[in-house]
Amino acid sequence: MEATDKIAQSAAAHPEITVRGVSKVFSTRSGPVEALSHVDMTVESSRFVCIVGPSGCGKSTLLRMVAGLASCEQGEILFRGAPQHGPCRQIGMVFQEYSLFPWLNVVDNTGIGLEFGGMPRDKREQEAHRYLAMVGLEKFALAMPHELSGGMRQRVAIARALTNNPDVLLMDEPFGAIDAFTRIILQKRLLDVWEKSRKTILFVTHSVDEAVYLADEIIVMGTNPGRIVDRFSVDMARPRQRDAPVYASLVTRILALLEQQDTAEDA
Amino acid sequence: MKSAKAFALPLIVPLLFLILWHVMAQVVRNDIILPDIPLVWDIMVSPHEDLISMGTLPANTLISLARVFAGYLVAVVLAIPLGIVMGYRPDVNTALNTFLGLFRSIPPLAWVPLVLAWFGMLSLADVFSVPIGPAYPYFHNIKLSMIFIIFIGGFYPVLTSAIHGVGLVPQTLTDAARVLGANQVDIFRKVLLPYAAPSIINGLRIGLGVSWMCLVSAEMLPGSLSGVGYLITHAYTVGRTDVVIAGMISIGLVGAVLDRIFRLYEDRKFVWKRLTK
Repeated sequence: MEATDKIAQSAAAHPEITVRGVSKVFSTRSGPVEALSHVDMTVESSRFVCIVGPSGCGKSTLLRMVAGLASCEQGEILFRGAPQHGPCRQIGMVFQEYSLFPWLNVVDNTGIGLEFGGMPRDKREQEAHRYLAMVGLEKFALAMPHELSGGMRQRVAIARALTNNPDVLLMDEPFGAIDAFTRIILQKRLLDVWEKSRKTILFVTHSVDEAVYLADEIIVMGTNPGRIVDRFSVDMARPRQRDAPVYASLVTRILALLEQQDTAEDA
Repeated sequence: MKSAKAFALPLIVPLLFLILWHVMAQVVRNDIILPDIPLVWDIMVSPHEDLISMGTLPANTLISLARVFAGYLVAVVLAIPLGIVMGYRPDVNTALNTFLGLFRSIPPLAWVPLVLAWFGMLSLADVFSVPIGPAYPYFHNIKLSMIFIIFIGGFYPVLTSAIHGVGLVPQTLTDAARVLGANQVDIFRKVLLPYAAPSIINGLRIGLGVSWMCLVSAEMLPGSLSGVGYLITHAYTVGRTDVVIAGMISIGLVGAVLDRIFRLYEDRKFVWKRLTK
């Protein structure tokens, strides 16, 4: 009991994710490029945070660093107050590219994180089915990835990340390669899943509309060097109406901000 | 109509070849230079016949197969893990590639003098002190020198295919596995190996083909007293060209059957590879 209290306390004392003074420089043939410059941000537990910005602003790099897939040489990234060394099971990730294992069927793909964790087959299949039902794909448990549409594959990828029961879900433009109509449906489904599971979500996108539709909080990034330009809290009730004046004006404001960055760069 | 054509088309050239063989044999009229088809056919269809007091054709083929598998097994067991590690870790690849590349272009036959100096006529029966019994002839007939020659033949195709296959694994897949909690062994066994499997199986098929082709050279080594390769050489020295040709045909047939088995396995097992874009 005491131990759980301590964990609860530390969770309350620290935000889920803290990014403090993070910079990243890539050396390229034409000299060093500053991908990220002095980025500070925090993500509170159970919040849905979107990072929006043009390509090249370092948003994917930042997400990979939070996931522990890329190293962080300058500054620090903390998970519940503790620095991260490499990937960990509490932080799950969904990628933009299709990341399902093509030789495994849907249920085996969904349960593979538990397989890595050493859980016996029948138990992990049970868990996998539970999360497949959450994304509405329980009927496709035995299908192979190549038999699924792009949107369905991403839903499986989301179920797979959730099956590991992480505290944080990182999403790197998960709907970037999906047609506009399917994308809107997937956004609705993702909000459903989020409301059911109450994970902390850090979602990277280049679509301002997607960010405004999904997020509690939007972090806008700019390029050259990659940095945070502004932050917005979104207080609109869900499901959000895209034609509502507040919605439209927020989209317009963020777009104007991004455009301003662009012209500042040209000058 | 179409299926009849598909059935007949692959048969036309072999048929013309047989006719040419028969006609040439009639013209030459010398069984040592070119025996006619029926002579060879008789050997092929009488598997119990003792040929030039060296045992039957199937028995010799079986000994040859046992030798090939011994050498091939060593090649596979070494080449697959090495290839996967080299494909996954650029530093290991850099460290080993030049070294292994130096040996790659040396034909297996060029190793013969060295190999004989090293292993002489040592056989598996000597190495494992196999007692005299039903298994003894097989172990006794597999010489270390032959294993080495066959090993060299099979090693490189398997190694190259494993390196290539692992090199094709998208980073997203290994990243996804790591984020899901995979350790290095999991990544090796459950991501790299399955993804590279189609390429590795292809290499295994080619490697087995090369190993099988090295057999004749291996069986010409001193200490060999059986096997199709030896049967051919021996039949040549006693002027039995019909036995030579029958032996060649068995080598060809066995090679083709092994190749076919691999292809069937590939088609059934790796449907995902064909259908995944």
